[in-house]
Amino acid sequence: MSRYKIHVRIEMLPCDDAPTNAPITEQDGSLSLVLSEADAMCIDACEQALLQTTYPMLRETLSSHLRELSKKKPMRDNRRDG
Amino acid sequence: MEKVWPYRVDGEVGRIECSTYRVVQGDAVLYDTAQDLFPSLGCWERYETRGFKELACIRGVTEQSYNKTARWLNRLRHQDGATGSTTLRVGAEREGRKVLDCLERTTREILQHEGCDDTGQPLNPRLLQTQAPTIISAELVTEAIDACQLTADERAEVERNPVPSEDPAKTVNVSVDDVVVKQQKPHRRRPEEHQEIVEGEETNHGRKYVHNTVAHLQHQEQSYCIAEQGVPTVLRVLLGYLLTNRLLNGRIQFFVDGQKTLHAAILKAFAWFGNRGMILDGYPLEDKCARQLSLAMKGAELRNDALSALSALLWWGRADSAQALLQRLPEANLKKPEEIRVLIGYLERNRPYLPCYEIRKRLGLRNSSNIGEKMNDLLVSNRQKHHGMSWSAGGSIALAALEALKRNYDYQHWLEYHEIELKRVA
Repeated sequence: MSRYKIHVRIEMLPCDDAPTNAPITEQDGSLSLVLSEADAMCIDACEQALLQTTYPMLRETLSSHLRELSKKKPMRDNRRDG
Repeated sequence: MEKVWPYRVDGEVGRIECSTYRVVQGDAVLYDTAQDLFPSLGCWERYETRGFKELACIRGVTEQSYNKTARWLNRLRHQDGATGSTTLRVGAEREGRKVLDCLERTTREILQHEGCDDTGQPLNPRLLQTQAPTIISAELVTEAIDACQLTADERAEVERNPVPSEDPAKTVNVSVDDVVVKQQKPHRRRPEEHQEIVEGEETNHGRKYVHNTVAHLQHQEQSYCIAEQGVPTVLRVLLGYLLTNRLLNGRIQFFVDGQKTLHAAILKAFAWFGNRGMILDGYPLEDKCARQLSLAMKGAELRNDALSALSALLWWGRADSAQALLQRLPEANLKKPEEIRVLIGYLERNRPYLPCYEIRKRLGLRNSSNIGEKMNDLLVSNRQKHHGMSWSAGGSIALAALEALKRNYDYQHWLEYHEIELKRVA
């Protein structure tokens, strides 16, 4: 069994995009949410936005990891006799 | 080949689904990741992670209703409507049942290992050795009686009290009590069915109850609680706990209310163990006296006078004088003399368990089973009573078992290894 590294990097970067209400899936599979200037300066709004974005990402990461594991060539020991 | 049904997981991060695959040769399945790699699940089942179980079963449904827990859990995981309250209830009941099964299995193994039969009666002669009661030194008891400044007659009666004062350092205090919650009807009737029955026949409005038994053990600074269905089951687990923690070399002191069946079950289960004692809690004793006197006497004033005199005698463990007082009550003050005879019988029956509460207090010994009552509240009543809810027998005991798991700090070990060690906790 190969090893797996969990790599997490969450960034909050300034942008010119229009604010969004829910996380949007980008082409590379990452999730993004755009905050208005007022929300970006509000601690409570930032906290909620970060949780709203990271939880779906956690679920998606776990789901795709399990899917990839499932796709892998079965180990000899796990093969059924039939 | 990809399977049609995804593998479903309910976790602390939320609900997820993932595709699984299988290798097929002809009709034979060589490898199926949904069964060979991940834990196998039923058709609509979801794999519940350890984190999810801790949140849902330990910190959720034991504290608040299934509906509230479902809302709380989904909010916490930022996933609206993910886990429903019915799913939570089914999951919690299943987990509670597993805890009880494990407790039963562990107890059976301990009893076998220590040389007892399945009912808890010892087969090993080592356990049957008679043991002298572990009691406080006679000098200390005499000192406490001396300090009370009693008359010669009072002192003689107090000294005749049959309940010995245990040595607290070598004693396990055990409070056992039953707790009942409203029982759910097996089937809910539709309003029209209910109407037909009301018009057509007499309905039985008798409320049914689910009986659970709770025990609290305390030895020096350590304690443990047990919630099970029925006194004999609780006493079996209790014996398993005492054996595995090597506590049978001291005294076992039971604190009970006046329930006859409870006394009989304890005496039967521990008949072979000489170094045990039973003490009747003062509160139910006084309550029983008050109720019987209310039934027997004419008017509250007469009852209160008799009750205060009787309570004072019982506080000193003077059962003879208490019975004499009841026999001397003037007939003119009584409306139902037979109720006095019932009370005299009650005192006679409980005489071996009526200590001198005052001397015990002066010796710093426990006098009541209020910790047991508190455990009833914590394990069962707080969650299951006084909210207009009714319960199935399985649902009620499952929640109590999960709460006991939490109170005993056993849940981390349980969630990781699915084992209960029956070890002492601080």
